[in-house]
Amino acid sequence: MVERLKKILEKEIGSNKWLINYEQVKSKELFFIKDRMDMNRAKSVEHCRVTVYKEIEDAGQRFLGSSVFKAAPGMSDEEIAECIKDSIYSAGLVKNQVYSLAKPSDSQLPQIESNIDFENGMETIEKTIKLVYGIDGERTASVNSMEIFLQQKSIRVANSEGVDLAYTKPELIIELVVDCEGEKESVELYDMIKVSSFDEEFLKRKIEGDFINVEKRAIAEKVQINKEVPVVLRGAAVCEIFSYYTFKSDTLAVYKKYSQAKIGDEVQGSDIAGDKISITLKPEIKNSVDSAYVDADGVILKELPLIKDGRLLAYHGSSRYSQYCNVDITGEIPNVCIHAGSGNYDEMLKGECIEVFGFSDFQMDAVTGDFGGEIRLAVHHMADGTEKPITGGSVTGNIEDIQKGMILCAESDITGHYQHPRIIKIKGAKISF
Amino acid sequence: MKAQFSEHIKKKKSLLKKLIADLSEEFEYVSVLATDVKGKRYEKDFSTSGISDIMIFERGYVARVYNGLCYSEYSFDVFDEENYDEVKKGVIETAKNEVNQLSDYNVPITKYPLVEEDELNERAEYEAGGGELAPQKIMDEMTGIIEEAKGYSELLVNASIRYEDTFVSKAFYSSKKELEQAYAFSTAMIICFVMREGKLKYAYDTSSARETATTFGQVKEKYKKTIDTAIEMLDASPVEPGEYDVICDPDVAGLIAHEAFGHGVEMDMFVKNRAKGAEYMNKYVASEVTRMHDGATSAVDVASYLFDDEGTQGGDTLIIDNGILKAGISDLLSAMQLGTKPTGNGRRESFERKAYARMTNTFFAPGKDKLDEMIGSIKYGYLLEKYDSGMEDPKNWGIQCMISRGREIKEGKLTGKVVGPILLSGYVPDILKSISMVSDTQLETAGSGYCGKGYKEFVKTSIGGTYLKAKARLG
Repeated sequence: MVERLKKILEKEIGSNKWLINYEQVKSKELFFIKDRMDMNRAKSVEHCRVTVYKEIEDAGQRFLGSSVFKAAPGMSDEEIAECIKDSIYSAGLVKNQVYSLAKPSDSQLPQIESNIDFENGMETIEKTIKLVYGIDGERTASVNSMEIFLQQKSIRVANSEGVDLAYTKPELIIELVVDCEGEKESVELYDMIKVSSFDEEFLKRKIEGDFINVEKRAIAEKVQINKEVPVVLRGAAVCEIFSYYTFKSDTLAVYKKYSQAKIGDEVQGSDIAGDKISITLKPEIKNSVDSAYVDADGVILKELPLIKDGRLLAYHGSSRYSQYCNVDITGEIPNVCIHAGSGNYDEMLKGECIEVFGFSDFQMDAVTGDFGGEIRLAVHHMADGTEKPITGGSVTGNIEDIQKGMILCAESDITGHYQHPRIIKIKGAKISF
Repeated sequence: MKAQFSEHIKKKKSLLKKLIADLSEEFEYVSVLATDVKGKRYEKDFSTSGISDIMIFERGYVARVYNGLCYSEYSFDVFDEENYDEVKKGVIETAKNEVNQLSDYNVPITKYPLVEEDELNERAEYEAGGGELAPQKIMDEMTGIIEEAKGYSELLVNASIRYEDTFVSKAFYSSKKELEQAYAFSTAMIICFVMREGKLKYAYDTSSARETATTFGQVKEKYKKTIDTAIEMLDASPVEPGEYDVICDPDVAGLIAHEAFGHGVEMDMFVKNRAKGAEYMNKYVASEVTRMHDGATSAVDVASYLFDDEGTQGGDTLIIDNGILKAGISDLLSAMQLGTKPTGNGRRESFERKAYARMTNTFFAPGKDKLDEMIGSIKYGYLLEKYDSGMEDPKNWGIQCMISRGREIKEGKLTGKVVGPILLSGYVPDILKSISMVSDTQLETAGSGYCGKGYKEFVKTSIGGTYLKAKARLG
């Protein structure tokens, strides 16, 4: 498809520039209800996104216009040629500040590490089924439903400057709903686990955690807590809190004035009572399906220390917005490593606090810093060391209220494309039951 | 003008029919959904602009076959004489070889009955409004709006305007059915960002319609009000957590309908025993003034169609009638498992994804109350406006809605004080049973966003209603 597109582009593009983002996806998909397979699916598809660039001069000012079209592989050459002509016209209506396209690099593109062999994918699927139902057989809770997606993505980025880079990445995605009979009703918890390798130990820990948590939810009670209590967050909620800092240091946010962050700023402000945060962006972290050493513009990606001891060291972002902000081009680095902090895991759970294991959907509004979520499962740790699973209620707040006093655990965990402290403890959030 | 059915699908029709006929020698049931969805997205803010194909662009096919035990599907996007055998092999490999391999692994497989179809041959090309707007006109008008907005308030640091038109063609073919449809819809959105003393806030407004062009016209008139609302948010304080009397605007009412009961009556969740609603059929789940609909023909908005992605004709399901849960919404396979009639709600994110029971146009029906009397009846509470997101919990009837703002009501009058953002949460029946008044205002639906199932499978839906009064926990 890419070669075909290149040929048509050569014929139609004239002096204009172009970028092709190509992805071939093959998948095997299984859908389970309880322990029975309900349906299976497979797919073999291609996604192709073509950006056409046009230099424009208007009233003595230079601009770079661009327009994007998607080329379905079923399109005829004539249809694609028509899309290119339309895009050249549309690009002429888009007057953006000038920027350069990525140039070829001498660097070798590392491949993403994985032990998944898609061609023998049924073996990985069998191992996944055995792992999940093996845990199911040992626990009170059980699988309600599960979807397994084993995918292989072949990705290629090419542009008119000579960039032409390709890599392959496998993905194993498990959408798991586990349920457990409580005294009053059956309860469930939802999880979506995405990994780039079949890491049995990692998967077992995550899946067992889901079973343990839903068993806790089955005995959880609705309570009234009408006072300010520290909140302990884990997993996706930790990632969501820290997405505020990666958004505010993104050149797109800076250029569009969604962020006023300046390099050298103390991102948490001064007089920090808790841990000062450090963040490094990384092309690859273990098990992350988002790992990549090249971004969509064709920029080769490298590790970037972003925030060190609370101080912003650099901006990060796409080639275009980095050029607009007149800073080094980092490219869009996919993984976020939030460095561990000073907190001892067991010590952090001492004293009265609410440790939240699952929200309905914990969200951070990275523009305003407002965050919140409804609690599906939490544990209320009392001052005397006793604890009680609770459910219902919500946690809300703003980053300004919590960032000076956050304690970050010294142990790490991995969730999606984040490596992060296993838990963080925050004070100043509002709790409503 | 009318939406034009895809020339591409027309060209492939005979080959698709050949595939169905050939595969029918191997399988008792074979169907193919063909899709061709295209459109343009235009956007502009203070410093950048863009024109691109829409996110939901797709052109491809999904074949579904019955292998004697269960249903299997194969999605593909290249289909011609040259790769015909490869596609056919892909279907057989998936439906036979992989299923056999799973049996070898001792994986139990659910036994489904065979789909029973009646002969049906339907075709519709729906009215598409003004058709495709000229790109030059859109970009010029966007530039004009942005320039006017810049002069409206010095607090404005950025404003972004977006317009999308979408043209959908879908065909469903099986040995007994031949269904073809073409329709269009459009959405538009404006977001305004304001800053004072380092504090950044924003507000947005949207428009959607099952036709093109009109939504762009509607949203461009809204920029001043949107900037004013964003400025109000600069002084907004957090709400004191607690339970309040609230008036929900049609957007918030729609979100509650969607999250509270819409997801809860998706009947594939009944099959999985993931929906408490299954235990409450024909029982009170809401107050007597509550009536709730969902369906492709319930309203005319972005989720209105002739047939769903499994070849079932769309309908209008009265989910809650005078407070009583009357019916759920279902895809074809769930209906077969439950022994019910499919409601035309089997929808896919795209031809690449599985069909699930999904909502379409979901809303609370208008009531008999006057809005000013509803506000006047509140001693202390809030008028809730707009939302940012929502999350369902059909199994345990929890609800989470991120509401953009609340306007304080004291002694029956709006005080001018604004709080927000607000997290509305609680137990679904508590909220629905607390609905005491529903306004007689015009039904408003909005379909500018997407609805997910869990954290994936995004489809276009519209939600809405009129104003309703309820009790809700805010935080």
